[in-house]
Amino acid sequence: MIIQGNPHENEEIYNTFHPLVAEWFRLKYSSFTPPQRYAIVEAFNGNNILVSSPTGSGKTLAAFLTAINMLIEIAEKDKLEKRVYALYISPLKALNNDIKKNLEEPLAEIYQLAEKKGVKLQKIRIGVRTGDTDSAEKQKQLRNPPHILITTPETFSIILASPKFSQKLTRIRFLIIDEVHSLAENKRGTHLSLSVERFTAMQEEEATRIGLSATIAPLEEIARYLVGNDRDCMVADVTFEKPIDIKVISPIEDFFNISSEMISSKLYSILADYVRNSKTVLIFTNTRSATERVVFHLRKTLGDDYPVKAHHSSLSKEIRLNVEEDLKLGNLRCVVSSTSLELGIDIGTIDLVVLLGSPKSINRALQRIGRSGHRLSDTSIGRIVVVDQDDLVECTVLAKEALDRNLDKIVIPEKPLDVLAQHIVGMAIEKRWSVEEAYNLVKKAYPYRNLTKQEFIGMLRYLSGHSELEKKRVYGKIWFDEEVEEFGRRGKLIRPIYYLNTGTIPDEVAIKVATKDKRVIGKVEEEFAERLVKGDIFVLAGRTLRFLYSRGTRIIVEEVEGEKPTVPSWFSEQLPLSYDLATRIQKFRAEIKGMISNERRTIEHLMKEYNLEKKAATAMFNYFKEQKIFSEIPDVNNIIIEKFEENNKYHYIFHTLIGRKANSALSRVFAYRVGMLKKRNVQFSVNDNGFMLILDRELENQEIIELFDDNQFKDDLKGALDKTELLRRRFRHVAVRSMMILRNYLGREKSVFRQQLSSDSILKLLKKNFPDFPVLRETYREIMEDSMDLKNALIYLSKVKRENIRINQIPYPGPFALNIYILGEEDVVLMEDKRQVLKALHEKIMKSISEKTIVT
Amino acid sequence: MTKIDELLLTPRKAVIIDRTAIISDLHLGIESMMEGRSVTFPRVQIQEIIGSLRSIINDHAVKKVIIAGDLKQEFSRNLPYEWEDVELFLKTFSDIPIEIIRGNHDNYLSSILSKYRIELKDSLKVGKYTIIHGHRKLEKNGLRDKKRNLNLNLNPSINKLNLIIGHEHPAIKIRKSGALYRYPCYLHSKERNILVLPAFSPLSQGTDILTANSFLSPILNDEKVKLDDVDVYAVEGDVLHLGKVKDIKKAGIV
Repeated sequence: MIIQGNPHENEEIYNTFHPLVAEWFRLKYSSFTPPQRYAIVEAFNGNNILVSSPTGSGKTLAAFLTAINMLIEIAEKDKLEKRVYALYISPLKALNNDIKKNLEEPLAEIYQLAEKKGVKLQKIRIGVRTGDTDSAEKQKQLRNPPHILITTPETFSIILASPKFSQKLTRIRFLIIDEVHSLAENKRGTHLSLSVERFTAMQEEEATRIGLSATIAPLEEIARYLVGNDRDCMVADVTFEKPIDIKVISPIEDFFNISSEMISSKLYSILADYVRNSKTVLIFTNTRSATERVVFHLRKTLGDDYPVKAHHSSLSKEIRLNVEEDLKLGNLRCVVSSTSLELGIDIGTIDLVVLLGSPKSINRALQRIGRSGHRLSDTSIGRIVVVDQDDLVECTVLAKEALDRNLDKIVIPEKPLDVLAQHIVGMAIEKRWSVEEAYNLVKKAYPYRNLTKQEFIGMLRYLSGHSELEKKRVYGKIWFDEEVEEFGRRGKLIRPIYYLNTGTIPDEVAIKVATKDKRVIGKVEEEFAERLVKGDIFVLAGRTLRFLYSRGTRIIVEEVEGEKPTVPSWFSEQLPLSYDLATRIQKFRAEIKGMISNERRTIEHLMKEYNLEKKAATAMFNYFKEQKIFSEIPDVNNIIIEKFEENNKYHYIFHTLIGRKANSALSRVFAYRVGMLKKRNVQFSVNDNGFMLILDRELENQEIIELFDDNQFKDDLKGALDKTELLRRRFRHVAVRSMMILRNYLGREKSVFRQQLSSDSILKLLKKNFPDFPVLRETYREIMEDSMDLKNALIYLSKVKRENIRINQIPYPGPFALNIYILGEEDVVLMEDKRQVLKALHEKIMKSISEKTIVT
Repeated sequence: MTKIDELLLTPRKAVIIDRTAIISDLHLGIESMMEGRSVTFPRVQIQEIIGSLRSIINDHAVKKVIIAGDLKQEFSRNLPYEWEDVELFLKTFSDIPIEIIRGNHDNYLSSILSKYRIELKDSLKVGKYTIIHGHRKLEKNGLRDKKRNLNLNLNPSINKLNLIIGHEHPAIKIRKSGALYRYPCYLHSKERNILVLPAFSPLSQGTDILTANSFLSPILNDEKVKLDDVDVYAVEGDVLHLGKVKDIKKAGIV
């Protein structure tokens, strides 16, 4: 059951404290912060609790005080044992040492106080353990285990399988999980949820779980994720306590009758003004390359008087630490970041946060803007500076929803089989399990609450190498006896293999992309490099490149500006817009459409209801008006499809504003259906506002309308995926996570997969012979549910009324279509039979030969 | 289907001469080898291969099958599935004479074959054609391997060698509207009359001859077969003569 928590009074909280802790707290702080009021007493009483609170609200102490208090009590009695009492897990490895410092400081103060009073206390040890911890330190931790252990989800799963150290982890009182919001919605968090259940099964008594999270919704769902099935949890949301001020700023009044250079220059001058008029500004961009660009221009504009620095994940650790230090010391006037400063790290006093371009999610907007205003009572000030017309629309709605606290709902992945595979191997290493016992354990993890026993047994079969054909089961990673329903370890090698291959962070990109003169441009995935054909043109780091040849672990390219890519891009740094917010924007379109004939009223409405400045409101009005004149404004009630011809190809733009994830599903199904109909390859591109299909045949209006059929949608999506590059690529990732392909094999990094075998053929034969193969099932699931939004695509289709679909012929892409048009193709659904392609190739060669003959 | 001389090139990657089917590079047990190298997936190849060869036998009323080398995968030892796959293969086709030529992967194969009274050969002759795997060099008077004391009586100074080989796994890789297509192919050198078979293994990725700088087989390299001058016969449901490698390159496909 999820129970709404209550704040506790000072006395109540002090009553839970050891006198030393109470005295120390009184000396140091004037009162308890909101997260402390909610968390401390509950943790003391052994109740699980999830607190959602802004940064700078004393949440670390909220989570740790009860544990510190307990340890002081035991230390005074001289009864501290050689084991871990409290375990802290954070996804941010870089922060772990900071956390340690933040704990050592209060402890040192409490010890000073104790010494003054003549109280003798045993030493309380705090340890950090991550992938970087050396073996000497690990040995030390085994001899003298830290009483508080700070670790990461990945290291946590490894120490659980460690035969010796895991024995120090069987009587833990407090399990603290930080940054829960950044874990629950991805496989890293799924992985952690199973680790936590395995950990819990090892405990003599269940540990109290304390979760800390930034702004997130729905909180109840996150609480269930934190505590797993059938356990109670208290929840408290104190994010409301921090006042917030958000405004959307447009650099210009009309995005169409002005050059892009002009827009940029206006943009930078706005940013420069913000820096000049504030103490410290934090600017968020959505990509790393944009971060670099902004820093470059601001430095040029502002000169040395206003120090500006970049902070993003591609920079070295030293540089980032320096920037953080400078920030804390107040040496900087401006820091530009992509995502790296979103979470964690205390960054001192920021008085203004600027978001350059849509943050795509309300939660992210609040998280970023929340970095300004150091103390809880300070107002967070955020300015969203928009970069184009669609951005303006999106941010206007987003800002309003953020102020109204209509948060995006996060989605927790449903029973990913690849993550489960890793844990079953880990469990098998621990001991011999009865299937029932293991299944019940797994089901306690929230993401696996709906796992069927049949599915679980399917996983055991997969991991033990069982199949109709395999009599000897030489492939097994685990041992599984179906008769007695037990499984366990198989062979000695599996332990090191497990250590080396556990975790869900995708493969590091391995292949360097360089020019002939050895200038490195970036990196691509091995699988991508393998699929390049000489002469292929692709886009990387904003550059258009032609593939020349490969040399060992690098591929050599030349820059070919302005050429059209032949390979769909695999790399999108773009964040997707949520379905909820997209739907809200559809309604906004209807709202503006309803008043567009009255310019003054529209602009006033936008300024009043959406807190826009005149300039932004005017830009918005102009955008809508131009679309209306050009074709028609699509909105929540009207589905508009615009079509035009270019270079003998028919382009169809579907203004389905449902967010990129849902549009991805929709566009692929439509491309597939069109492909089936016309027996043609269909190229497509997708963004949050819609998608475009491109093919060399014209579609009848009725044929277009028929596409909106929700029958057979999932089957058609599967069919479409079978004919795209996406499936192959994802298959490889899932295969690595499922331990079908071992990334690290007994210490050596191997990549034989590509050398001799055709991954296409493996995929094809698996599909044919083992349609239920877990790796395959998970690949489809991950694509359809995690990277796409099948559910909402279907909800959208079920609401479509065919009489509201209109198809407009346009001469060229209009205002609303422009951003979709300039995206370039994303992928292609291959409906042309391999044989057809070969025949066409044949004809082309014959033609070229005959031409040659004529010339000679 | 396409004919070169008396050779019938079939889309199932077998060449037929006079009711004898010749296939090459089956690499049975490749799944077992991959497992040892950190890639684990169920056995999918053997059934595919059996089905395919059975169709060839039926469709062309084949009386004899010749494997032009690399029946199995691993060099150093016999992996568990290799035994099983090779035995299953031989048992399945016990109704038809099978002759097997040694490839570079076929070490230790004779111990399995002896049970079926099949001798592992270094070369075979069908009509005027000599069939070898193709991984060894030819010398003036035959194969270099003196230990085996072989003499094919091939005279490399004579233009037409009339050879059929495997080993090369030829394929072409092309890009069309954003997608990658791969086709296994037969290669044929008209000048020397050497036919290279595509790999029969459905899991083999193949070597893209459009981007390769040289052949894999020392015979082709030694005998001065120019890569650009070989004829390409691509396989996909049918066998399509695409012209010479240089024609394909010129047509601007790569």
